Amino acid sequence: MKNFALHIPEGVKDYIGEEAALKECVQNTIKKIFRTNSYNLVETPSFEYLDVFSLGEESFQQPSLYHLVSRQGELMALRSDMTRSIARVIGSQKVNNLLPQRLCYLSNSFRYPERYQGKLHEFTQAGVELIGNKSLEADAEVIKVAIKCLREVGVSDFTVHIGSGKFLEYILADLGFKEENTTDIFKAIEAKDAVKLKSILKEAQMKPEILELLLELIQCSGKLELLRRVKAKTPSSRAKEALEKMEQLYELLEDYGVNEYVIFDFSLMSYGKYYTGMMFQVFALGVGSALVEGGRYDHLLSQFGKDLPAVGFGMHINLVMQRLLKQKVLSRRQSKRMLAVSTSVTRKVCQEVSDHLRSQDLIVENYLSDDINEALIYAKQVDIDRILHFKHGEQIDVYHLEKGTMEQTTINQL
Amino acid sequence: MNQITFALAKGRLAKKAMEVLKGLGITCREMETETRKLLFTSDDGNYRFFLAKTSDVPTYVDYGVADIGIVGKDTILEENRSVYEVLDLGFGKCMMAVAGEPCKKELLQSGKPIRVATKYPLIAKRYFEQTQRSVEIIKLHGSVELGPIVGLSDVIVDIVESGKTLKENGLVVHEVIEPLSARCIVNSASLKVKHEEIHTLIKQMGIRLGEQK
Repeated sequence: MKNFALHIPEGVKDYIGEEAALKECVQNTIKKIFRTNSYNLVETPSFEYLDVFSLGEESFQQPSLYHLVSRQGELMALRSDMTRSIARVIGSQKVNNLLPQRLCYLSNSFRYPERYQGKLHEFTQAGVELIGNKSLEADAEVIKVAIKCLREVGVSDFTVHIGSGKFLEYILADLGFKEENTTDIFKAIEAKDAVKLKSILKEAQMKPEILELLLELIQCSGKLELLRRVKAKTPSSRAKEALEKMEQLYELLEDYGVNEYVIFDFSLMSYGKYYTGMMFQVFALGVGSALVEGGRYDHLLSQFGKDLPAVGFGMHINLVMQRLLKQKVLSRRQSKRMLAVSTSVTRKVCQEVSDHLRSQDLIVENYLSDDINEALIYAKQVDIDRILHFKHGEQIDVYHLEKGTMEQTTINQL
Repeated sequence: MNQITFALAKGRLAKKAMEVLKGLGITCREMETETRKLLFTSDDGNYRFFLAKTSDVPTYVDYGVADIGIVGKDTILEENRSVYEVLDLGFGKCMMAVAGEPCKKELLQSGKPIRVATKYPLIAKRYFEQTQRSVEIIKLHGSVELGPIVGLSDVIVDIVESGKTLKENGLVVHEVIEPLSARCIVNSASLKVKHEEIHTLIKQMGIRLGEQK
């Protein structure tokens, strides 16, 4: 029989050793950036009523949710999406808080992927939501915070792909596309099926030059010149407006000093149903999916009873770590440790000195016996660089293992 | 340029795909000689190729260990991975269909529960759900035609190419689910970070295939 006590279920994982240290370091860095940009941390329950996660969806059935039934027979689900939990928090506020509200989170969510796809069911996300403001400045701020986080945690070579959720819809509507065709187009986009999308466009009788523009468009991305070129060719005035806004957004990002990462993207992925305006994704070489996904969603909160615009992003900590592990930034982050060896006589003073060092953010490990020779062997094994040997009275021997030296000093000198 | 890695479905599709690439000047002599190697590098060093079991190709592409995959539409539908389908290669044409003995036509239309044998449980389930019929699906791994003949199932859902196997076993196509052909799929992150290389390549392949038609 399988010994269940020694196994964990499909889709969850342990973080231990260097990976745990890296995760903590990444999370602390991100939290600090959120805090210093005036985003307030929100913590919501790990499970809540199913309705929070199914509201506004086509069907009550949500096979990707982890369902629970409470003792009272209420249907619940483990949190699948922090944005919805935050929307619920905002929706349930009785007093109208001053706007905008800047909220952030760092928490785990749970989702069932298809069976045996090897994907995590429990994953960590860090994100922000800027609620109650629909200016481009808000869009730019959120993008900047995302870029800042990635830069600070040490992700290199990433690109931020900005698209407009409304752009394609406007073009299609202004070209007189029937609604059922538009629905089919968005279905093909959802399924990431460009072959089908092309055939739908070809079948819908339209001018060949417009067809060509659309076909070209759904596979291009580029810098500011591309945006201007597309704008010049765009036949619809509303779509043109959407592009003008993107151009202004770029100018803001230029002032924020983060425009070098930005690429405008008109490909399939830039048209999610959920987003009502700007949307963006961050990709890095060697990671198979987007590290960050975000954008403007002005309709979600109205489903929770507060008609407020909002913009935000969610960052996949697990993917960020995957990227960092590939870059091998790990060893650099390992801070130096010290080992404190004392005798029954020097125990008290040893603890006092160690605590003083710890208060300066240094790592001091207690050695659990007074044998200095064993301590030297142990330190070598676990890669500790320095040993403080509290020999007797005020005297301390300091061993530098890397250099292979030992110097005698006293507590006061240390 | 960034190196591009291809995952090719072993067999006919891989050969055909290599022919198309050869037409674009991308050659790989390593692959033409009989070896037991699994991973090949193109002569110019810009591309890598590996041959994989057909149903694994979308998996490699989903994870991004292959940037591009060449695989049949049937596999894409059945594996249901998050990959981008960018190009219809036009070869390997066939269809996904519901087949069975001629007398089963009535049963299929009656709305009564149907037993279906198939190598494609996901496609079968989705199709019968969409057409509002209840089915019991039996997953088989090969020679699906046996199902109705020996009485394991009422009908089968399978790929039909010429229809010859069906005919020889007294089966007919009752319903066509979807036309199929070889497709080119791309990892979503590769499409972004290696945009120049992949976009140019796909475009050239498209033009090349258009010329051949």
